[in-house]
Amino acid sequence: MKVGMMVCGMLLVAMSFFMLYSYQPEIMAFLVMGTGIFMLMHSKKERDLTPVLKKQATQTILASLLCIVLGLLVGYIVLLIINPEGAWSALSTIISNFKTFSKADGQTKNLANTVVKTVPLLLCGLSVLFAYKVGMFNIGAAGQYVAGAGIALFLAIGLGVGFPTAEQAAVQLFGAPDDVARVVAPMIVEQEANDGEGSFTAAYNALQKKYDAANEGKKKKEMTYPTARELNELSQAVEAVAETEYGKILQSLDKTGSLTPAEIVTLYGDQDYSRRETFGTLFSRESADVTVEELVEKYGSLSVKNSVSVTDVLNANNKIASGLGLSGKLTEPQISGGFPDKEEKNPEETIKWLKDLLPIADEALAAKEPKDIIGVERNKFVIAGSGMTFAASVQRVADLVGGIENVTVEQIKAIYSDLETIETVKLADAINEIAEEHGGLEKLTIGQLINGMGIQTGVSGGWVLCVLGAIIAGALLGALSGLLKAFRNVNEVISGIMLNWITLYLINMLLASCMDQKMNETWSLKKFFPNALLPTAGVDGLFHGQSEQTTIAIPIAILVAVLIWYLLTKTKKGYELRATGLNKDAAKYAGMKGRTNIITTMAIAGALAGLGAALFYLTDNTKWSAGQATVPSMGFNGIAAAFLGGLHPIGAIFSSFFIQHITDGGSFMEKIYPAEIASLISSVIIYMCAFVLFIRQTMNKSFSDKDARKHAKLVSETKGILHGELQEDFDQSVASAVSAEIEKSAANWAKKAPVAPEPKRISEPEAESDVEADLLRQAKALELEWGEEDEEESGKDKKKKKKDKNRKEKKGGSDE
Amino acid sequence: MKKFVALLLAAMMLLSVAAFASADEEIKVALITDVGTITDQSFNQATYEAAKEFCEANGIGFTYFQPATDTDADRIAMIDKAVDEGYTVILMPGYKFGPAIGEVQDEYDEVKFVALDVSEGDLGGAELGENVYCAVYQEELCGYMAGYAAVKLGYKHLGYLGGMAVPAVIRYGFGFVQGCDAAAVELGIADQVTVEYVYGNQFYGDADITAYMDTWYQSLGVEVVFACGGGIYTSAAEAAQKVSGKVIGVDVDQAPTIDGAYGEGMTVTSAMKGLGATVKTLLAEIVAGNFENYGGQVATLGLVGTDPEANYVQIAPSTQFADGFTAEDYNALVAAMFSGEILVSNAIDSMPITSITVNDQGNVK
Amino acid sequence: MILLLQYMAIYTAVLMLVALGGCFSEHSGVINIGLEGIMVFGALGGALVMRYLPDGTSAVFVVLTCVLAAMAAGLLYSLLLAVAAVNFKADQTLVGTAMNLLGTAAATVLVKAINQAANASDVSSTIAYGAKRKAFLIFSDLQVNEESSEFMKALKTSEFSWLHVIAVILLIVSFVLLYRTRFGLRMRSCGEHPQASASVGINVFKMRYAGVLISGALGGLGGLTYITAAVSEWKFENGVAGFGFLALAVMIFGAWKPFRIALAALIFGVFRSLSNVYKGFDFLKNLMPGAVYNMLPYIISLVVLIIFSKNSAAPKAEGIPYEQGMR
Repeated sequence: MKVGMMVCGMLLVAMSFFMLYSYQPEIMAFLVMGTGIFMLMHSKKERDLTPVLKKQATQTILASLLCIVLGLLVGYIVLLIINPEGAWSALSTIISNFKTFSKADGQTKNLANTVVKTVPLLLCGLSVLFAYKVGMFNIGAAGQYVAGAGIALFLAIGLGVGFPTAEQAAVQLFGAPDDVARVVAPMIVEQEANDGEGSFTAAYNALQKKYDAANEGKKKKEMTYPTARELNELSQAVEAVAETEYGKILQSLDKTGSLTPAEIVTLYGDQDYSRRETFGTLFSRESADVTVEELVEKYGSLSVKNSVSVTDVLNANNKIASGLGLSGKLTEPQISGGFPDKEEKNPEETIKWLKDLLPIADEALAAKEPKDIIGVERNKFVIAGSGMTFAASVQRVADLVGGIENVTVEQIKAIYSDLETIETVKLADAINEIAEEHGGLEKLTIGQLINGMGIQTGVSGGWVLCVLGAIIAGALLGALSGLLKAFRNVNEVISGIMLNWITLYLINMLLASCMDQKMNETWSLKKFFPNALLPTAGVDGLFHGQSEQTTIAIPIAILVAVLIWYLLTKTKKGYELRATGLNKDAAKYAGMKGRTNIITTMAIAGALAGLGAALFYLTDNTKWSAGQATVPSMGFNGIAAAFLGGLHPIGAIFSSFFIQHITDGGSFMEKIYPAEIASLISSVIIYMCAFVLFIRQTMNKSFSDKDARKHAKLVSETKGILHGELQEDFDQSVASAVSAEIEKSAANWAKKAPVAPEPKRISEPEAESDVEADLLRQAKALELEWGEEDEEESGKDKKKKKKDKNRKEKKGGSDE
Repeated sequence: MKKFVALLLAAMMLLSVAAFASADEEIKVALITDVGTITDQSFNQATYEAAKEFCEANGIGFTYFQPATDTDADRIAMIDKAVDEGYTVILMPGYKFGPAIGEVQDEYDEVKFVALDVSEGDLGGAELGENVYCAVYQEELCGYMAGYAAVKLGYKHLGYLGGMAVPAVIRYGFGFVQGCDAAAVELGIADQVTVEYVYGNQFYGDADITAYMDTWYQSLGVEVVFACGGGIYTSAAEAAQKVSGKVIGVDVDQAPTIDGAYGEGMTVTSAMKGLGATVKTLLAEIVAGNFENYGGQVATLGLVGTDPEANYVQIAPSTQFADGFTAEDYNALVAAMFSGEILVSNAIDSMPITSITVNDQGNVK
Repeated sequence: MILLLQYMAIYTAVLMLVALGGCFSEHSGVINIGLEGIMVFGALGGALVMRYLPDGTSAVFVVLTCVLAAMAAGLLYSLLLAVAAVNFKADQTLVGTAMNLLGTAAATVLVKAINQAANASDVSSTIAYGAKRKAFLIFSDLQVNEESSEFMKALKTSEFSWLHVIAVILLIVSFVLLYRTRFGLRMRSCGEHPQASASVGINVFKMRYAGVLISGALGGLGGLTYITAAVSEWKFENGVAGFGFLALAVMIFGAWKPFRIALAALIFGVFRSLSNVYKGFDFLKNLMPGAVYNMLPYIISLVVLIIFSKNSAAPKAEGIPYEQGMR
């Protein structure tokens, strides 16, 4: 019955959580939960809760809950003071956070957001907790967090571990399925043959030349590769080609004429036509028996994605003209000619129009002194808002004069003095070259194509490397603090603070090369470094797919918390570490290696903080901003999370979620109140946490008082009973009992019956007759003998005992 | 009695009709900051104040949200919240909103988004929906004007103190440098003009920045500093005050603020951009129902004509015009820039190449 | 040169004051990590007084009232730690951390409320005290004219403040108080072995209260010195930009002894101000990249610590709540 009730109770509680999760009315859920808990308690068969309450765990939980309630109360009072109206709704907004959304989807999405941010807080909390249990205050958690983030990002971006693999790059570049080399390469070859210039060729050539020149004579290790930005530009150029020339691509296939739209989509994948449509959806509007010619006619002239407005063109050509030293400005017809409407422009038209500047450009180029053009005009060759690379801008000039073959090397040299040679390589030829190396176009794999093009690729599953790197970085930093403490007695608080700042500046320097200049932060991992992203592996299914940042980080974090708990409480090493923390000297005398333990502890704490950083930054939720001036506060908030959770790893899970929950809730609050109210409330809660010891002592005191009172009551009751009885029966029983006792003992004494073992100190009874005296003497003699035997025996016993003790000691010694 | 009841019923009907009618056009405006507060003395504050003024004057519901952290996810969460609470117009100042726009514009196609200081490049390749209007300012133009004016007025050792190196600040700075360069070349003193260039990496002043500025003014001999970053001007003004140095203001006409607190005549000029004016104009247009004229565009707001006051970018009327640079010279400058005779590059990836000396000092901290 | 000296004075004074405060608290046996929060509140107190004082008040009056207000504000705030640690035997590390977080948040909320009450559309967290700051500067009244030397001109505009002088005076007072008076001896004994002190009849509770409250007063003054340094308004949502933690480091660096703390603060002050003014010295400009200058104070401190920490020891009984009758 007991077990049954307990099981029922647990099931009910579990069901209530499920109900909450799936948006059933909350009241129902709480009712169910209440019933469940009641059943659980009832199943203990004991109405008295005291034993439960005496447990340390329960006390800590209750104390934490009390802190939370008190903190919220204080916050409510502050809200009331500032503006009584709306105080309650503001407080409830903070508490409910994501529940304030009206739609379930919105709720899940924001719950997911909160959970994602809980992960680093939890791990930083664990880091602080672990060190605290061993007696050290790991204020350097913030620096270890920074180190972890920096190394993870550097591995992903700087060393390119996160770059797409060759296959992924191919899909990005050509938007087509796996064996794209066989399918796409001939397309481009074909297309190049038909139409000598295209922006892809130009972009690719320029890129190739740039890096060939840079890598001239260098060893493989020192070579540089196209950056993510350049890769992106290349892919955009390809998209342009792919889209404008789609019809031609279709036509170049053998199978044209007999392909249905569905087959085309299968073959070329469902590429994005624009943000709202893919080829698949476009084609799906066609009837099943549409011919390829009709498709080509309709979709053949798909235009470029990036639209160019008149203003841009105006600015662009003004600059070009001025850059070429043209005296007057371009005439209105020259500018606007050929652009019927202001939105979509065809790249061919743009180039054609630019070509019309040819006569003017030629003149200008010839007339100007090359050096003047370099020195003064160079920065004016930048096109509006695009930040084109140097190489691409070279191409722009070439476009002006009708193709790079039309410009003389001297002209280019004069304008861009750091280019050594100019050689054009058609992409078609390049692909053929690569194919030849690998046995022909038929056998060319995508990996070989991409590598042959010199595009840097990453490692599939590169995130593992990044996470490992972060862990090691954090651990090393922590170990450094530990080392300084163990060997040079440098207080870990101060070394932690110093290292926080030093690490911050060093990481800023390290990540300087990984920055997206436009956004002033590191490159978006999602867009450019997909192999560095943590996989979602179904965790996002838990959140109804509302957020792609919910990754395996969440289960990993929980697992780590459980591991830490296990390590601290159930393993020998954990016990040693805690012992070192409680009393360093005692631990030392017991043989535990103090120094190694300190270093190990700090290393583990650092590893935890570093892991937290990796698990956060590698979801691409946040990026490292350039020139970060202060240490991120996550490391310090971890202190709060650790203590609010009662310094218990499992408790830390709940406390870090709670802290993040109210912080996010605060940002949804009505803005009558300053947004800092949320941090005020959470800091008050943490302040209250410090009183946990006091609360527990009070609880214990009240329990022990209760016990003492109970005990005293019992005693006094008993006493009273006794007293009462004695009082009543005194007259009657005492005298008779006492006299009976005296008679009894006298009789016993007369009989000389052994009353109680009184071995040695028998006082000589006085003999009252000779016979008695004789008897007494005999008895004495016997006793003496006995006594001797006893002594002997006891001596033997003693020896025996000693032997036993020795044996035990030896055993004990070997135990130790 | 009957009459009274009849009147009452009639009044109620009227009211309900009116309510019904207005419910159709319920416009509620929400501002979402990029991560800073509405008191950052920079674009968040300017947008907030302009929007608040407009909404209070027209009885429109207005509130603001501040993301919990500097991430796209949190900005999107704020947008979600605003839409969830029924706000129909969302103002988003700052380039950081670029990625977020791409994600929310389709989901909330009934909501009108107004994004300021978000350029096409920030959108990351997404195509703009019809319900989004982006506006970028050509800060490099007014920076150019300020630099040009300063050198023409006779200052030879100038300084630029940016807040954080965000695109708008960089455009101000690079424009400033180009303006100084152009004026110096014109006057033939290119070898005598120097510009010190640094970012403070924060939008407020403190002892570190003032120390840096003190070094500029006292040890290096800088004469005027263009303080371009919210509250960071306090440090520049403090330092300037000690040596009777000069300051150039930013975003709005800061002469009243700076001169009032630190001494008359300290502000040479201010490089202004009409952020507030844009917000008010746009909100008025939305109320009038004309948003479709603006939707789906990335507008580059700069010069609209030769009248300096009507342009989105200009220098303050309180500029200390003098013989070297008069009000007429300013008009001529604007006309030349508008006609395309003078070109100012708005690229932000590298310092413009100039004939004058520019000392790029990175960040203060 | 004057530039370097004046900024050195600023940073040294701030760090010294706050570190001395922490030192008092720790000598009495209470770990005080909440220095940052105390600094913010002290700064708030002083700033508010400065803002509301009418413009023409005499410099002496301004200095006195602001100093007292800052000390009082810091003292009141440190009561949070005192009550929690001494009466309720709370965990001192945690209380300190909470006070740090609470300080900035509470100060911001307070300032915003005050600003909004004064002017409904002002939602900033800034307090501007404007020209009254000049009252603090020692040399602002110096008479200079065209012929005065460079030195005099530089002095006139320098940032040397009376607060720095007060800091030095307080340093000496602290040393005397701690090591040459009975009060100081008793306080230190409470930190080393409170049970022994109690057995001699010292009221440990009172001593610990005194220690924490003194740290509050000194920390508050340090906060005021920081925000009045070189700017005429302060935005309270920035807190004190991490200076409280630096002061904590300086205190440990100085091994809990006043003069060594002063030395540590000086080293820090020199390098921190150097990282801001080195551009003015040509040979320094070319010596190292700027980022290294920023790191220099911390690296140097770490190196010194590595060399000299072997024998430093904190007061033995710090951090352990005192229970009467415990052995």
